[in-house]
Amino acid sequence: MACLGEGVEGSEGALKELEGLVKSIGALRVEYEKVVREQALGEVQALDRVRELAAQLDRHERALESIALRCGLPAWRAGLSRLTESLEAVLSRGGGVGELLEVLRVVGELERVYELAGLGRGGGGALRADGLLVIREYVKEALYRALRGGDPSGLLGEALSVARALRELEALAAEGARLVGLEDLEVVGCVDGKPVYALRRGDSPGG
Amino acid sequence: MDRDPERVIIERREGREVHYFYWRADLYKPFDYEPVTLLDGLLCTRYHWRGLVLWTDPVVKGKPLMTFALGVHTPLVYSRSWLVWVVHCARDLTLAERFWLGFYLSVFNALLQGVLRLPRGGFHGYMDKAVEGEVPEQYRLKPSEWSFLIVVGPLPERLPREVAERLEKCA
Repeated sequence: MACLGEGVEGSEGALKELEGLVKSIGALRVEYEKVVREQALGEVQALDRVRELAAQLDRHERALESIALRCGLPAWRAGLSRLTESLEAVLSRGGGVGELLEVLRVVGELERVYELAGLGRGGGGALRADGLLVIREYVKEALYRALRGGDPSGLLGEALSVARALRELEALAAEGARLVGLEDLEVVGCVDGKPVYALRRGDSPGG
Repeated sequence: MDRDPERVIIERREGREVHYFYWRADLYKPFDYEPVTLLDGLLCTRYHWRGLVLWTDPVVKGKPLMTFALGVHTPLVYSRSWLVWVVHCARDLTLAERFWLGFYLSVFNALLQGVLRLPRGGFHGYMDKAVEGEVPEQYRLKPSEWSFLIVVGPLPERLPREVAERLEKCA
């Protein structure tokens, strides 16, 4: 699996491979559990199969982790660019129902990339997920409005500004900035009896 | 200021002077107003409608220095210290507000890490663009209607009255 650069084709290939591996792992786990049950019932000959399946599972999971590490962020960034371009295009043309459904499909692809690549584990993971969910909600609402003959451009504009903000965050992250969300805040004192939060010490030079 | 708005509308109303930096087009909106004012002596800006930002330690060269960053007209005042404090009514935050607060915090963190650098020159006043007037009601700064409050610089001993009143309503 090459996954070179951040091109859309490369990211789509990575996504397909990730999906294939996830399916394989799912099937292997089902078989593994079945064989373990058989072994527990006294069928000794199942022991070799258990060992073989465990080794296969281990290989697949390591491959999954490796691809997610190498291709997850590039696939996410390429998908974000595609989503931003889709939103710009649909906004400039007024937001037809078919185009809005296509934007929702692109959002769905990005959600799969986020999940498969385990982007929620790193810093700012929740921020990315929140942003994507906000976009989905705006586009769904825009679709609803378009279906009722209304003007969806305000909602699409909100979705586009979130997509652009996500791209700006990725540009900062690519330069080495650590993305932070509300989960990275801690209570450091009170003002007027209410808690005051700051970034956890060590998150930044300003602490 | 180092980014040019098309106009600056100076609104005097109810004993307060607010300078609204105006752009004709902001993505999909026909125009955008970014307010700057003093609240009980503290420099105040608005961030994405529902965020209020108090700048307690601005760099002042005659006037505080500020810029609008990152394509979404995010107001940033140059500060001597970049201590960033957040007060929010967690239960009141919508998902979109959570995201925009996280975005702003990440921008501050990038500044603290030295990844994002603010322009160092080209500052000028804006009175040549200033006009007296009123802004549409929906764009007006309402210091008592924020969902989250950010303080950049040392925490003030006392919050401005309207800000404190809003804070009292937080669960």
